[in-house]
Amino acid sequence: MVAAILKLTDVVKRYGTTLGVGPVSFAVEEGEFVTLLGPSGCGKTTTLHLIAGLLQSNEGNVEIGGRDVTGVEPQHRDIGLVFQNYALFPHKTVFDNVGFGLRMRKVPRGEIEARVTRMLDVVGLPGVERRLPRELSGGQQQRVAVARALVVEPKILLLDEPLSNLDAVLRKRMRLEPRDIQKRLGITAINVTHDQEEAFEMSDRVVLMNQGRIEQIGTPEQLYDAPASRFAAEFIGEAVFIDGRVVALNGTGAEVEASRGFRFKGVPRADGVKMGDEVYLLVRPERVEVSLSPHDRPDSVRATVIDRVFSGEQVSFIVAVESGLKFRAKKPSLNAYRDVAPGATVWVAPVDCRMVPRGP
Amino acid sequence: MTGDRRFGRLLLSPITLLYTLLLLAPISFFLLLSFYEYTAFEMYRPNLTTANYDRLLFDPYYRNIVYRTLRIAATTTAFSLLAGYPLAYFLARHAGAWRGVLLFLVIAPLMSGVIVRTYGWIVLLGSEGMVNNLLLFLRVVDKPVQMLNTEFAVILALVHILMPYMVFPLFSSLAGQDPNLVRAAGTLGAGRVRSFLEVTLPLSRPGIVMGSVLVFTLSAGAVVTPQLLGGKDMQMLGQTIYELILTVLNWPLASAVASILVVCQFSVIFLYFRGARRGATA
Repeated sequence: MVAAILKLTDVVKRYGTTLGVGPVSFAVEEGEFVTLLGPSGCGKTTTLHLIAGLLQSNEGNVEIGGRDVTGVEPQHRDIGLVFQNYALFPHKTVFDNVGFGLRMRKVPRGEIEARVTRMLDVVGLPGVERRLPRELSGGQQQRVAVARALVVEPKILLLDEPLSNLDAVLRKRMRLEPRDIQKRLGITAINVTHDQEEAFEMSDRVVLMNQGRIEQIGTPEQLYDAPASRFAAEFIGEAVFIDGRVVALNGTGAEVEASRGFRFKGVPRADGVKMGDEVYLLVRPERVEVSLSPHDRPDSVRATVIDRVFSGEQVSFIVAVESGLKFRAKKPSLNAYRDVAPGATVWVAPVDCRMVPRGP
Repeated sequence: MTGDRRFGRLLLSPITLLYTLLLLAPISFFLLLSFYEYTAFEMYRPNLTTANYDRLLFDPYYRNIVYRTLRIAATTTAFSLLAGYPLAYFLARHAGAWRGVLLFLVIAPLMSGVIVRTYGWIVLLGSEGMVNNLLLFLRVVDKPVQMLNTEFAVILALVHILMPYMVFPLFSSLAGQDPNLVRAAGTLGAGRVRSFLEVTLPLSRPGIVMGSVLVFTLSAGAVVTPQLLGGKDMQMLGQTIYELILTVLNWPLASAVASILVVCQFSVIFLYFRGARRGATA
């Protein structure tokens, strides 16, 4: 087990009497890329600012590199923060922006020059030292902001929605860049975003937050395949929920009966689920097999296509099985599905369904 | 495109008309007048001469007035900046819900007349005034201090009266700053003082320039305040013009004084803005 470089223990932040965040506890290992993910107002940015020291917690403590930094001002926390709007100093050149932190640390002039030049190389922006931030594009400004945060060699790099100011195309292209730099330098990074796809592509682990609390922590695969709650399942990826009741249990699997008698077999058993429990059945539309003949899969059932939505790389079908239960299936827009129109008969098999315990 | 531009020019035409008729024309007139010869009977005769300017620059009486005016205007600007900056900073950064009320209080003095406000200072600063009474009561002094009819009184009242002109440009240049900049400086290792000197202060330069230019020009042209609080010995250029036009009836000399005043004001504005531009590109 690698030592935790960042550790939050029961951190609570209140604004007056309303709860902002908490209690929140999690640990990040050295070299990890962790993303705080959640809808707006879930407390992810507040949590990041609590780590940075821009906000001070009401309860709990924050440790960075084994040192308790609760109540410590940002300038003594050994962190680098990339702001959502980059917050580059508009009156200073790129060189002075990037060199600012080194100057504050009284690094000799010659060394500042060498380190700034090297860091601008690392972020792929050599030769822009004399320019002002406003003369750079959004993507270039982002790189300068990353360089400015990293040049002081902080223990942790904090990224506050670094991609949200870029246009959609650039945003997708820049997605892997912070992670790439982070892995090359072997630094630990905490990122904040509300974009699930972005979070998954960038991160080793994701902390899913909702209403000031942590909903689930895990690798992207864990969050997608085994959501701990209905919120987690809904926020991440596309999800269809079917109300159901556990009617049979064996070792690790279960049989769940949905309304109108349709039975899902071989559903992995969720922790603490008993016979007769009401549960949600999570169906991921892209994991519903659709075939034109009954012989492709033994577990498939007959269904009628009610609607078809074509979106380019994918095509979605709303299907109704004979008991009347409806759900969505999403498939790559291959030729095989070209002629499947409303009214057609298909055979469907929802695979990899998950049981999500019904909350109180 | 050209239609747009034409419409843009059309929008500027009322102000252009106003400036031409009410500003450029009179300025040209008194500029010309300042080079005319003064006679006691006709007041001026259209013979070109520099006699009026010679008198202003070489007669110690008038030269003193020019110096005094520049000194008072510069001191007033300096103190307005020193007092106004913290106020503007507080309003921009810390006032919170009270910001609206406090901004109103800053403008409020503008709503009462300059004469009323100046009389207020007479009540406070007179030898029987509140300040002297307090000092006597606290036994700081044993006889009333002469405060009226001093340069101090004039500067004090000007700083007070012109405060909104300093605070508002400063406020808007401070309130317009991205609060993340100071936070960024903090995460990079700068303490509060360092962040202020490196980020907040240089970025508020446009406000400092604008506020200083306004206060300098307004105080250099002040008439009522120095008249009521400075007395006979504290004459400034504004009063001199007033006297020369209405009492002495020497318009050519008055025009020359006015020209000197305008030249002083414009050169300060020019130097300031040039400095500001150089600062912005440095």
